[in-house]
Amino acid sequence: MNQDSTEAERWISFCDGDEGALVSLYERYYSMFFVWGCKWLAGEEDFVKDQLHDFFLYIWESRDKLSRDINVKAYLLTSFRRRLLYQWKKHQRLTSIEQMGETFENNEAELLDAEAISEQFLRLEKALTLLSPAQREVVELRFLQSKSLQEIADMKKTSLRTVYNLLHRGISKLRSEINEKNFLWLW
Amino acid sequence: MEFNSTEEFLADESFIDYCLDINETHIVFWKNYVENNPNKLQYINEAKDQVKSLHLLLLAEQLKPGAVSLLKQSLQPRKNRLYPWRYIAAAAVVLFLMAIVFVFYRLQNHGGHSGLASYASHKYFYQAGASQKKAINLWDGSFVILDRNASLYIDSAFGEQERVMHLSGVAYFKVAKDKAHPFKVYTGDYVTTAVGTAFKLESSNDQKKLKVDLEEGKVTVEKRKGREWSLLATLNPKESISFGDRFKLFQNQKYSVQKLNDWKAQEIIFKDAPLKEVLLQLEIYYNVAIEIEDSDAGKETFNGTFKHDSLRSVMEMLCFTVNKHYKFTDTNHIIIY
Repeated sequence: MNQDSTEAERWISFCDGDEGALVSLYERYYSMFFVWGCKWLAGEEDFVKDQLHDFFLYIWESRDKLSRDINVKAYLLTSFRRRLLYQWKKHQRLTSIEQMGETFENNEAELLDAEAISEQFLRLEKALTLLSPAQREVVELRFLQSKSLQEIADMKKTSLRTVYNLLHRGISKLRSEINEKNFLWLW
Repeated sequence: MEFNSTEEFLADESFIDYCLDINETHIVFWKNYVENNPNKLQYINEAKDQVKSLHLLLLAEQLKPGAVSLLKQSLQPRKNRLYPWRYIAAAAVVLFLMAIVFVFYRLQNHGGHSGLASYASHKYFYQAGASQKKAINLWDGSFVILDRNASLYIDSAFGEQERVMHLSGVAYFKVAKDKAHPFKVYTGDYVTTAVGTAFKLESSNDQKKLKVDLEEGKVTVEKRKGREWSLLATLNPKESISFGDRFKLFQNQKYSVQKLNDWKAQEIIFKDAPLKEVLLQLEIYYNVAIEIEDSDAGKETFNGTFKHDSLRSVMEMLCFTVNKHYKFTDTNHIIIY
């Protein structure tokens, strides 16, 4: 709750033109918006990355016109999604005139549950910090750098079994953390 | 194989490949599987979503530092709006990477990381295992390899004015050039500042002794005296300097370039090395115990280079050369006979 009040204060500073508040909002929401943006636009990581940057500068430019009394998280997430999809359509229009429109019309209507989205994200984010350094390293090599288990074993000069165990324990830890409270995955 | 839970899907390597879209054969296989097993869809979707979320979160964490600094840059001359920024910034990043310099930093402090233990819970605390080196990408573009048992704590104000970190143990730094933010490594009472550089540093267990070998560029070394920092030396390329409790300076010593490169390349080179010495090094390098049954064998000498080799292939080659056999008595013990 304290969190929420500082968030509201940060938002007011933001509206008052405090660059520090902008940066801290960006830091706070970057990972979450990136992950969700990429889920909405599957496979368009670069586009999402650019839009995220532009979105924050865009709201910064229009800060005078923004309401000061809002649910910051829900507001930002909703506006980001709207703008992202809008820009994507614009982008699509430039690349192919044909297939625009339809893809996102349905999604648009869907209600955005900012609380659920953020809770799901925060669980994963927190879970990731609970991995041991070795587990984290293997998880990164596997899931970020797309190395095979054998490649990881070769790189780390260790056995396939060790890599498998590290990865398996890492994933189990993530899952047990995420599923702690009978959690519904939205996808 | 029968897959009857999300866990079982997540434990399958080829399924992960399919989720990450990386192996054509696996992708085809799993697409097929999905079509033919609609009853497993719930598990599959859950597993797939977790893999993707994890991938995206890791990617986000990797991108975030760069994105934040890009945003900060965009704020400065505010008249340029939105789009043009990205391209200017992208160009700047390219130049930045091209200007990378090499810094070699070596501290012989296998004694441990006790000095940094208090930072162990910190977000930017890195530690290499007892048997493995650890590679770290810093968000300014610099790259660090921590040697076994070394630990590195990145100051939370890293990048604001200076790029400050604290090192215990041996490490290699490839420093991204950034004159506005000096790259400083603290080791006990010493601080070494890279000014666009390549160097090597060794410190004793108690961090009271220090040796610096400079490969290229420039470094300064300062020592703490109470609250003040006094400049001990500025080094030029190919110079080496040592400091002890009583300030013995050996300037302009040549250091072993080969030795430094070996460490960087993670190579082990033996030249006419007695077998005993070879085995000792292998023991250290691979963290195992090796025994020779035949005591005369210790007098043989050995030549060879191992690079990124597994212990088994090293042992094969070694035993072949000296005409011996070896066997593992358990995972950490080897007998040569």
